[in-house]
Amino acid sequence: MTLSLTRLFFVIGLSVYSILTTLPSLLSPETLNEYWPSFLPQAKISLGLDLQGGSSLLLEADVETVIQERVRNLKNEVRKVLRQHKIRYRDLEAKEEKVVFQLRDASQKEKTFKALRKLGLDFSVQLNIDQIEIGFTSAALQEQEKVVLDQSIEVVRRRIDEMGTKEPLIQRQGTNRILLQLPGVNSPDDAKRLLGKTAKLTFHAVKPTEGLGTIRLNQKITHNGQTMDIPHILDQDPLITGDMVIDAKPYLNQERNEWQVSLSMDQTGARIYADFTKANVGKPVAIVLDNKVITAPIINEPIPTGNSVISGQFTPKSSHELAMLLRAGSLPAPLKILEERTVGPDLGADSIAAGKTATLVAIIAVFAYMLLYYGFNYGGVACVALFFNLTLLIAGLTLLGATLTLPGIAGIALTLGMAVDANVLIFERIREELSHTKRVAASIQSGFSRAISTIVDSNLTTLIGAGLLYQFGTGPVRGFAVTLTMGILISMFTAITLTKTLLIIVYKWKGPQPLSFDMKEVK
Amino acid sequence: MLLRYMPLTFKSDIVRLRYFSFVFSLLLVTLSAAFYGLKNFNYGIDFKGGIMIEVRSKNPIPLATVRSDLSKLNIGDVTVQEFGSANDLLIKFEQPENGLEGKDLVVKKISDTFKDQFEIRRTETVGPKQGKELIQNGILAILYGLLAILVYIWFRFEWQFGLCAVIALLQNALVVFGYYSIFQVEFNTTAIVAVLTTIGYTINDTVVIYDRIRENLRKYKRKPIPDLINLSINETLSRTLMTSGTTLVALFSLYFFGGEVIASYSLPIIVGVVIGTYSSIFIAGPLLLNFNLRLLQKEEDTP
Repeated sequence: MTLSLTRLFFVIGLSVYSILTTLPSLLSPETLNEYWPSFLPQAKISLGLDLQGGSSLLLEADVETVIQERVRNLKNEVRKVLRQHKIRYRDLEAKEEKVVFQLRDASQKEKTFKALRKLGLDFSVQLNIDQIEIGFTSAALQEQEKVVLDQSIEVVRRRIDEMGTKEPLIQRQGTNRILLQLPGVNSPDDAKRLLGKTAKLTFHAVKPTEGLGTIRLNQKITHNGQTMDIPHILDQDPLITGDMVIDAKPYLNQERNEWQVSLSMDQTGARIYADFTKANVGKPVAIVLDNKVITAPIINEPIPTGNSVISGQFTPKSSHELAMLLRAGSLPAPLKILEERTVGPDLGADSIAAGKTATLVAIIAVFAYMLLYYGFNYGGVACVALFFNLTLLIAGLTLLGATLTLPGIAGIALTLGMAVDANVLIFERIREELSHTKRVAASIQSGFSRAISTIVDSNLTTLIGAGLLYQFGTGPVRGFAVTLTMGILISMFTAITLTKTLLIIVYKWKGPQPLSFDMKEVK
Repeated sequence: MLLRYMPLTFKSDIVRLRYFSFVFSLLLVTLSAAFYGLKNFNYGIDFKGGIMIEVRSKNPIPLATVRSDLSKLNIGDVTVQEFGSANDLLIKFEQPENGLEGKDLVVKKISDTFKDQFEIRRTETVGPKQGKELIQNGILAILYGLLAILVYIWFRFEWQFGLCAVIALLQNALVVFGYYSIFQVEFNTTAIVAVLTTIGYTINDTVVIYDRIRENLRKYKRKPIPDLINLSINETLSRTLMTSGTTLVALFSLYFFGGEVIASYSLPIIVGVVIGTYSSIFIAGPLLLNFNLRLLQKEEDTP
């Protein structure tokens, strides 16, 4: 049995490095500032919300609404195409995720099919005996879902950034959810209010009478302390939409002593607005936010600049907020809060302290147990291996940027118990080999090689469990799965490299007898 | 060195005890199922949906006072319990009809009622839809886990081994679920974590024993199979006990020193590790006797 120098240096180097990477997470910030040299690793392990305090919101984008809206648009498209091709139809309607209609003249089937195909590849057309169905293909639906969520995430990010939260985490979850974590925010009320609005802004022409292509929307007006809804009849198609707005500012109108929001539009918007206001002087235009008319002023003169003002009984705060929402853009779909968790900073600090104590007690207890059971030599080797198992685990988590959660701490301590296993398997094998051969060096060699396959098999199956925990879990549970997985991998690694090297060192240093498990006549 | 008292190979006749252990396991599983039928689980807010607030007061306040004050608020069914110490309370109630906005009103009501007495340390609100999905995902995760283990062991060993291992694991999972039902421990995502961790731990134990059985099947071609399985279990017994011992030592430290939340993770895992150790020794190995392992040896002999 030889001790290769490369191997020795590798093991020592890695152990020292793991300690240096672990220490910044354990030392207090003051100690770090004063005594920790700047050339050493500085990164600390990142803590989950349950340890550092903060709020976490799970949001769901209501993709269904968007799809329904798109299907309604599709219905209009289909109507246009049918008229264009002079195809006679009846009962055209949007049904769930499809548009269906019937032909008055069955011989026009072929022609209809060809005409509808021109709508594009996103749609599938199905000819049934009595009716024709046209809808999005499932690929197109998935694509839309993805686009809606991507846009929502972007808007959420912009709105949260405007709030000035430090290091928010915004993450996609599944096909229609967004996880939002706000470290250090104890009460997420502001965030919830901001995200609760879609902020869909549109300008509409006001129509004198109801008819095809008009909608009826209400305006809430408070007058002398009484609130009432005033209905407006509007053109269904908006003139200006929120995406044409390039800037929005809150603004105090000194004359009327009232808070307003001023808008500037992009070129397209400005042109449309200029044309419209020129043609409609003396008539009202309605400004609609989230399906409510906020104001419907009369156009006094043409507005060529693309600037507009929204007034609507704003408070300073609400005008600031609306301006902010308009700048950040509208959400493609309403967001619903599915889950909300907040953890105060004191609780987080208490949890860290309790977790540290528990891990420390676990280490001491396991060490004592190993030393008592295996004695100073084998027990000592196991303890050193376990110690570096821990530092490697924390170093690994720090370097990977994994987040340590409260259940993650439980995972670390559990790993400690299980990391012993690899060492136990090896020691028991050596003991068995020794009872046959009576040769310590040979037994250590063959004990290792025989134990390794068992270690790999048994740990890989455990990894399956840890992998599924990760797959299934959210937040803290994932933290547990990550530490468990890392712990298992590292325990295999230390068993193979560190334990073996240490045993060889003890053998070279003290000879075969101390490693004989008190058996007699060993060589 | 305590090792001196641990024999290299134990001489217990575990295989002969198998009828007792099978009956014992069946009893445990039946008991678990019966309690599940009678009392179901005590679902926590993770699954049921609802609102939970953890508060800390400077001075201990009698639970009865808190309860009567809260019942005046008219927020439906409220439960109040101590959480670790007399100064820490958990207040739980169902989600108000008007969704999450309603929750803020209730929290405001509570903090107004107990002004200056309590500090809110943590709140959790889970919608009912989310809960149903969590249950589904949890059960799926466990089933996929068992399936993946079945396939893995089938490839590394033989299908008989995979099947027996999964039966033992299923027993294990059912008993841990039974623990939740019998003691009406709050059933949250931690339960799924506990079951999956237990499965991961137990399969580790079982694979070590199977590994030895496989090795001995190659080594002793003429030994009667029951003796061979018994020998394999006994040869690995010292390792099984040692590993369970250290894992339990670590888990108990967590349970006693890790604070309430960690304790709620560690107790079910402790139960799982104990049951898992039992099932890998007494169930997983002896179950193999229902199959003709001799055949496997013959297969290997033919070139």
